[in-house]
Amino acid sequence: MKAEQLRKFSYQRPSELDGKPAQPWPVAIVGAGPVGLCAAIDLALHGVKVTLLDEDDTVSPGSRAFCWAKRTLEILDRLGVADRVLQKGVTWNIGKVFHRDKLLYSFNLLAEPGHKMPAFVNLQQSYLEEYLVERAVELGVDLRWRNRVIGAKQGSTGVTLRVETPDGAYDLCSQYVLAADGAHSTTRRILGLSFEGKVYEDRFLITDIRMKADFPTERWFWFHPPFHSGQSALLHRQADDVWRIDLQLGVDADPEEERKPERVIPRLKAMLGEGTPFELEWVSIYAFQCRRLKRFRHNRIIFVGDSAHQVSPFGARGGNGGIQDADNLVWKLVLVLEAKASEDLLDSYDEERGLAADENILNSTRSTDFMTPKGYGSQLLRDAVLQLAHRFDFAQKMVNSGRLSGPTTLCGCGLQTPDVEPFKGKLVHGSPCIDAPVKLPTGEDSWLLSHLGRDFCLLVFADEERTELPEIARTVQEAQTLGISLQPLVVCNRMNASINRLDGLRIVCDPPGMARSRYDAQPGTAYLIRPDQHVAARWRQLQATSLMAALLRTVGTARVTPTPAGG
Amino acid sequence: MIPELNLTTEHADAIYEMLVNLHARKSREESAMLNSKLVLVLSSYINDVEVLNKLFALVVAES
Repeated sequence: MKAEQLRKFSYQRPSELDGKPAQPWPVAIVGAGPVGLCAAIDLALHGVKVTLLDEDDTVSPGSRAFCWAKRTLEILDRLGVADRVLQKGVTWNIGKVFHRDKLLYSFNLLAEPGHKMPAFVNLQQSYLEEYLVERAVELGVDLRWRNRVIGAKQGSTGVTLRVETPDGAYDLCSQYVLAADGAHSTTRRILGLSFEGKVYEDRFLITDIRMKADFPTERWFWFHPPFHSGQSALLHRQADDVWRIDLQLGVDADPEEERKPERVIPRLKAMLGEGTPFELEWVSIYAFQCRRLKRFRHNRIIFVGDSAHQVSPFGARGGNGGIQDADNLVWKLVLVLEAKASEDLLDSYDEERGLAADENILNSTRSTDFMTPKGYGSQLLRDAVLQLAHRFDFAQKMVNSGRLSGPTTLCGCGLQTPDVEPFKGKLVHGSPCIDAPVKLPTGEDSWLLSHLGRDFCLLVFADEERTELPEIARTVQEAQTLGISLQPLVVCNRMNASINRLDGLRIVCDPPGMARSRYDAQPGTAYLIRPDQHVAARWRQLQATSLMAALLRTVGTARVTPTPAGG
Repeated sequence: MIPELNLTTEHADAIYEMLVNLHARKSREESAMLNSKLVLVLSSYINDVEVLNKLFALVVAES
């Protein structure tokens, strides 16, 4: 989107400036990008009052993050914006990798059938932000545009932020602060935290152009493109006939010179052909970085998204990883605010999303090392792989044009209870749940993930006769005495007339058996599912004692592995 | 029969990374010598003249 077309939001003079006494906020979020907005919406859906501060008053210029992965779309669906994203965005499945003028190979990301969400949708960050802002407003989130955080002080009960506005500065008190203020995080700088990792020298030109072109809706990546002297190029379609192009410029490129239209346009003409009309919408130059904070939680200030970790593009791991941070943190924060869990639960955010950040950084570093070889030996290796990849499958597997974002499995992290009985299939404890088509008792088609809810869910698979249901209802009632909200959901094989009269349990039916197969379920199999839809524990036969132990472990009151203290 | 090249997807990136790391901060001469030594060590591990003959032929035919 061109700068003048960006959606603008109106600044309002904060009442604090007029000396009105204000109650401390439970949560203040710094930065109204996709990650901060998702966290705000999720908190609001849990009934938490939240204020969101942003130094600017527009959505993000340019595409920046634009490639949204299945897991993120599932989160956005829970937040209530996925329909708009799917409608406006471009769904794609095919990726092609070229070496010089030859196609090396193509891949198809089309997930198996029976999922509500596709593998990837491309949509400019500006649109996603616009939808999220509208949703946040609808839910009553307090949005403060042109409110820039310039200071932060932590006390034993909360954080005092110093905030600057066009009308002057004021203090804002909050029990917790989420720093979602991006790669150049002001909050990180205020706290004096170091951002550790690698910064690469190669420069990339990224640009959004508007053109009517009959390129297919596919991800095209070139090594040594015939139209560009750099080492790589990427072409990706977005909404509104806008295309994202990334061109590698090398280490000697001058960022100020290279962003000038008179430098950019000839490069694009060489790529697209003289006869293809296009309009330049946005240009930026960046260098690859793979860095993270050592710890994401600093007492009552918690870092989410790019402020906590930064990765190179070409894997869609920045935006997706950030939204998954918010998804992981919000339910824990809600439990802590409601005094249903101790503050230590927040350290599990550090553990779990630290693992995800390391996974993203590892993949991103490997992609970067492949795309921008440093030194003679690694250049030779890279070029040898590309040459061999024309003929050999094994070399194609080594070709790395970005390993696309997938969710992190939290297996082995402290909150999850390891399996005691054998399970087959892709799901392990700590995986995000896999979707499946289901039918409602009314006969209506639906999706399994849509019924997991915002609280803990006990997913139980029933047999033909559903004899175990009264027992399940009793077990759930017993577990609910812990005071942690737990909602049962029963999956039945078939529907019949008696189904609506079953002990007040929510029921979905699974006539094709897809859910049963994906969860390797037998009659009586039960899954304890966290509010972020990750598997916390599972059993072949449900018992109240093991359910309660797993539930307590998941809210952090029965931890078995020590985690580093915050602060 | 052509020997199978069984690199699995889950190992591809890790093996490539190991090789790149071996070449870090090496001069041209050092990298060339490293490559030669790697070929000799891996050949000695395979220790099968017939298999190596076919593998080498694959690479030579490629270049």
